[in-house]
Amino acid sequence: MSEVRSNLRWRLTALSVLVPLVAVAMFLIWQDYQSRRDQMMANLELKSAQINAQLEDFVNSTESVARVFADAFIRDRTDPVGSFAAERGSPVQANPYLTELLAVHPGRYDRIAIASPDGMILALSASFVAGSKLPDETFAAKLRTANGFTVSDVFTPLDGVEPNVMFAYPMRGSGGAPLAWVILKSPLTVISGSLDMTTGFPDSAKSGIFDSTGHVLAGTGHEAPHPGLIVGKDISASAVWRQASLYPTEPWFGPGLDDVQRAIFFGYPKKTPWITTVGFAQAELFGPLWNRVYIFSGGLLLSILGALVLAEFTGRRERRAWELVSSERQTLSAVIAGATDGILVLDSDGRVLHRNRRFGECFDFDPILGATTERRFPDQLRAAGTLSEADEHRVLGALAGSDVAVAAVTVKRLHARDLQLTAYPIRAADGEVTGRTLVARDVTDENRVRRMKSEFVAHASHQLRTPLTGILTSSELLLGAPGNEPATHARWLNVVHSQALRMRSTINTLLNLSQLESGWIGVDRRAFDAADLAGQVIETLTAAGSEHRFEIDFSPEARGVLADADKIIEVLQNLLDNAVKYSPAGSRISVRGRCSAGSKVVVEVRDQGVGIRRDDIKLLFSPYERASAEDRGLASGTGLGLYIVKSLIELHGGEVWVDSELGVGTSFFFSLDHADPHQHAVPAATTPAMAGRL
Amino acid sequence: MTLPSILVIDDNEDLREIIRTFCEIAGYPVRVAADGDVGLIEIEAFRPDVVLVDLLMPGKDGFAVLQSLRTDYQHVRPRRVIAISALTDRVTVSRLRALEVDAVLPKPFSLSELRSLLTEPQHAGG
Repeated sequence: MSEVRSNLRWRLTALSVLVPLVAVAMFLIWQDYQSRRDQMMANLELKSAQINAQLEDFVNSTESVARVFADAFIRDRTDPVGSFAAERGSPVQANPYLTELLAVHPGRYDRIAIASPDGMILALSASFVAGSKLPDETFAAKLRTANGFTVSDVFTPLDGVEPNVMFAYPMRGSGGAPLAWVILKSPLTVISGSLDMTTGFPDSAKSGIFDSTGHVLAGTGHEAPHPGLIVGKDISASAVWRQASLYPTEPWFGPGLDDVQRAIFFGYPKKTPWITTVGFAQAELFGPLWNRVYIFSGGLLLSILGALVLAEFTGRRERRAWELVSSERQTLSAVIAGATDGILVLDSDGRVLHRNRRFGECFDFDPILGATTERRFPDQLRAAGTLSEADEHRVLGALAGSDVAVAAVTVKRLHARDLQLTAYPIRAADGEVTGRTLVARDVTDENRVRRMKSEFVAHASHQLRTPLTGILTSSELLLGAPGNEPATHARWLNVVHSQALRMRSTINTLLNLSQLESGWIGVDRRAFDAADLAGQVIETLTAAGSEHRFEIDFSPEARGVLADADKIIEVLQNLLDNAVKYSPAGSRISVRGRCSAGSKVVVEVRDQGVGIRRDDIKLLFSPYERASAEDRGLASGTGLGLYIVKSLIELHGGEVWVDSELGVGTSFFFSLDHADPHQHAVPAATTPAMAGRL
Repeated sequence: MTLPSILVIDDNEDLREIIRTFCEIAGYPVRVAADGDVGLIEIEAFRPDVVLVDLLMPGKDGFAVLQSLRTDYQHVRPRRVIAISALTDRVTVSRLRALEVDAVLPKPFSLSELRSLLTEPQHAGG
């Protein structure tokens, strides 16, 4: 259980470290990405503005050139339009003047023409004439509606050589109305060649120019001319164009014309009908991002591996420690559970950590284990109420101190129980008391035995005092009294003798008891006739002067018993002595024998004496316990006879019991093994050795 | 001076007879009883000056006799009540004191002890 909890704790610890670590790293990487992206977009915007400015410069300078040309025409010719029209040959021939003008800006504009306000071509440079295509009606229609400098759509391709751009500038007369158009044509390569894509930009940067219908006009930048390679291509179906049309001011991330993921910024240069873009591959943006992610992931992986190795290492140590603790705990539990004393372990707040079953038996309540303060042992003890208030104080006082404390209390129950308590402090390594143990030893039996032993000693000495008094006093009479006759002497000597015999009998009983208790007595079983044996014992009693009427009544099958005859003689002597002692002279005392179930013979010794009180019966067979002195009359005998009877019969595997009625009589019963029928005839094996016995 | 009359209550025949003989020899008028019931009858009939009563007896024992002398037989209570006791434990001693016994003759005793107990001034008894 604890191992599972330990593993779980490890996982939670690892998670609690890893999750914030990953989160922080991701956040930093994302922050970095965002700032790089912002930086890149700013660069894109700046670059777009630069390119657009360059384009505008080009357009503006073209306008200036056209104005210069127009001014020259008006200055050089009083009727420039008319004169150009007049110079126009048929078929159209190159105008030498225009060809000459064109030479002023070699390379930048490759053609020049003059058109009427309604778009009719009035004059052409030589290069125009050589071209395969002249400005057509579409171009003428644009000129008719235009009202100033205009940049025409791209002619793509005009002459099969390269795309180019037409510029038209109005020559105006003094009234302000256009007299004619000066038309300049410039190859797109010249325009795009004037754009600077490389300064301060990554290698992957590109720029493009598209016309308003979605055709590629020019491209530049890295691996240029791109998208110049596809100049004239219709890209109106592409994602780039859709983005440019739908969100003309939004920067965009997506596949460029070359299908490479790019960040793109769209621009609209003034005075142009076209759109420019600048962009570069997103690898520029994501490359460092992924590098960071890879580096971080690698670092994280290494950290996790390291942590796992560390965890395994410490886990093993922890497991070993746990196993050690667990084993010690099991040992402790076994020791506590198996102890014959009651054991209770409390923490410093008095909560119950351990207790064994024996403790519950001692205190007559089972303390509840628990970590809550409601389960403090003192409260539980008070609630149980098995101790008097004073004893409760003793227990709690022993638990309150910080040293070893002892207390003796008595548990109040039907049969009071004496407990000897010892409280020990549990100390931590620094000596601080972290709890208490309370060991409870049930000393009820010890106390009872001690009390009984002391009573027994008093009793035994009492048994010797009476005959000793007889001996003392009668010997005094013998020694000192004047006028005693020989007959009187004999009488007192007899007293001395009989009292001495009585003392010997008492001493024999004590020795018997000591032998029985030490287990030295062996049993020599033989089959004999129990009725005969009873007869022999009765004979000795009548010989000693007993005036009772004795009867022997054995059924024929009950006569044979298997036992140690010497021991049974002692049993019968004890029982018959008692019967004689506690029944009036002349009354009947009978010894009966009957077979019972289980191959047993039950022998009954019945008298017509005073009887025994019910309460005293259960004490009859206890050693040292005296039956009520008033009625059983301990004036003679040791009171141990019945205990000896019981012990001897039990040595034979039999039982002893008693049935009595006050004033009517008492029957003592004992059971013995039934002997084989063939052995019935065997006479009692042992001659009763009465002398020196009870 | 007339010697006080004595009643001995003891179930032990030998002791009973020894004390009786001793008293007779010493000149005390003496009677004996073998148990408590007879003893009380004798007290009522004989009115002894001194009663010697054994404590442990079958039937009505010495304690019961002493108790009776404080209640039903108070009017015939002898001048001195002496308990013969083989029990010398504290419980018995205090019990005897409560029963207002004048003196205790602890077993084993000798006749000289009995004599000095009988001849000592009465006020020293108990």
